[in-house]
Amino acid sequence: MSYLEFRNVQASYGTNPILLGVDLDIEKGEIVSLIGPSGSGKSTMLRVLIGLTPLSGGEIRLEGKPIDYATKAGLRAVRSRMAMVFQSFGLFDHLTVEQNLLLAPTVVGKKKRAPLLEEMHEVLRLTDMQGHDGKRPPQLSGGQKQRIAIARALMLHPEILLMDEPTSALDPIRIAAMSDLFGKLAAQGVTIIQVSHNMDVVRSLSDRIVLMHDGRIAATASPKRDQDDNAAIARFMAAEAHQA
Amino acid sequence: MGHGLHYQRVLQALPYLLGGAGESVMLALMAFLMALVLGLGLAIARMESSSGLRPAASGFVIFFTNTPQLSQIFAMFYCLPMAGINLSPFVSVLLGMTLNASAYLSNILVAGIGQTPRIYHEAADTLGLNLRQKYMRIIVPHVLRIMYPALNNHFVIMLLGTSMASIFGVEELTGRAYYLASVTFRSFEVLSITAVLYVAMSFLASRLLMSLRRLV
Repeated sequence: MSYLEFRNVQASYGTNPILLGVDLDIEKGEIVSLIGPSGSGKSTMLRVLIGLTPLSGGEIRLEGKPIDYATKAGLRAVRSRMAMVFQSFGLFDHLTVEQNLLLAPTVVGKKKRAPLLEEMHEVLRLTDMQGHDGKRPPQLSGGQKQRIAIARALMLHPEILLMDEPTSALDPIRIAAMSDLFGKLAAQGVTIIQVSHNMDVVRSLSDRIVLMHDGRIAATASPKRDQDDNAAIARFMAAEAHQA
Repeated sequence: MGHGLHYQRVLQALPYLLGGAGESVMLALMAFLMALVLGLGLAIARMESSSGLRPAASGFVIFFTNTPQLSQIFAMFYCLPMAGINLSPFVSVLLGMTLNASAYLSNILVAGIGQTPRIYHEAADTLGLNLRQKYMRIIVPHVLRIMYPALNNHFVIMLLGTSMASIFGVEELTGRAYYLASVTFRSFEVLSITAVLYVAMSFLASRLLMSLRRLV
């Protein structure tokens, strides 16, 4: 039994099928990178896992138990163990950075604000965003917003961290810093599933690379072991790196 | 006094008219605030597919936006007592205006909710906010910001619409103006002063609300 199991997972947008039966096992503390062409179903994998897109078939198991997406209680339970960093960040423009970061811990987690402030400053330090807590998202650059989105996810202490293009707006120095941070989180047992087109990040960070194509898994590889042995993944990564 | 315009007596009664203006503002403000709360509930009921109240909310809005407001207030004034509910003229008008405005405000709020980026809903959902928390913390503040001018306009419409209350004996501005005209026989002077007061009230209300926008 794996920590997280996708079993024949299917999903569609309206009548348009996106995932056509995905089987994938992920272990606790593993960093899995989903790669593949646009429309291959990478982001949908994250969305079905956190319950934003409904399953049209199959099931997902967490620690051996099927996740109940059909009830509010089931959704609440699964979301309490996960956090998601959106490609478009998903920050709330009318709230300050501090309010964005403390919203879920105070409103959902019912924690006191004062003790959270220290933790928030630590998370802002980790994401190199200290001193920005009074600003609102429209006052931040794309890269800064992305780091705040990551910081907001960290404030939730997720067991599973889902990230859709988490480094797309970052410069190379910040990409390296964030990759280092993700590696440390995984070492602490946080399972990370990311969608990325940055092949350097994918290669250096991932325990496993999953290549998706037309709603199915086309190939998997462990870059630290056998990436070069998988021709399909090597070809895709080379093509992506060439485009970049 | 003879023919010609004679404003002196009317101006002497200006405090009386201003009192009526205050009544008008209070009526409009109370109706607007209550309608905003009710309209928000209607809007959420109409927008959330999980809401079983959707048909009832839609029916309410269709009814109250497609029948005359005056008829609705008449219904409060004459029909409710038949059911044993006796309301003062002020409360009858307040209730009628509130119900009518809530239907229109719900349309404005539905438009605003529809313009809220989908990512706001999704981010709030993944953060674990429940429906009430999501609307109160995220969606409503955003909607109030983007729909503020439309809400502001509707308040001014409601402020001017309080003149209907005079039909039911409420001593708001128009009611007091009619009374003053009947005792002074200076209808033109009274109504022209009243018109100036309405313009001033609308202008000031609009400016005040726009200056408060930054607080939203």
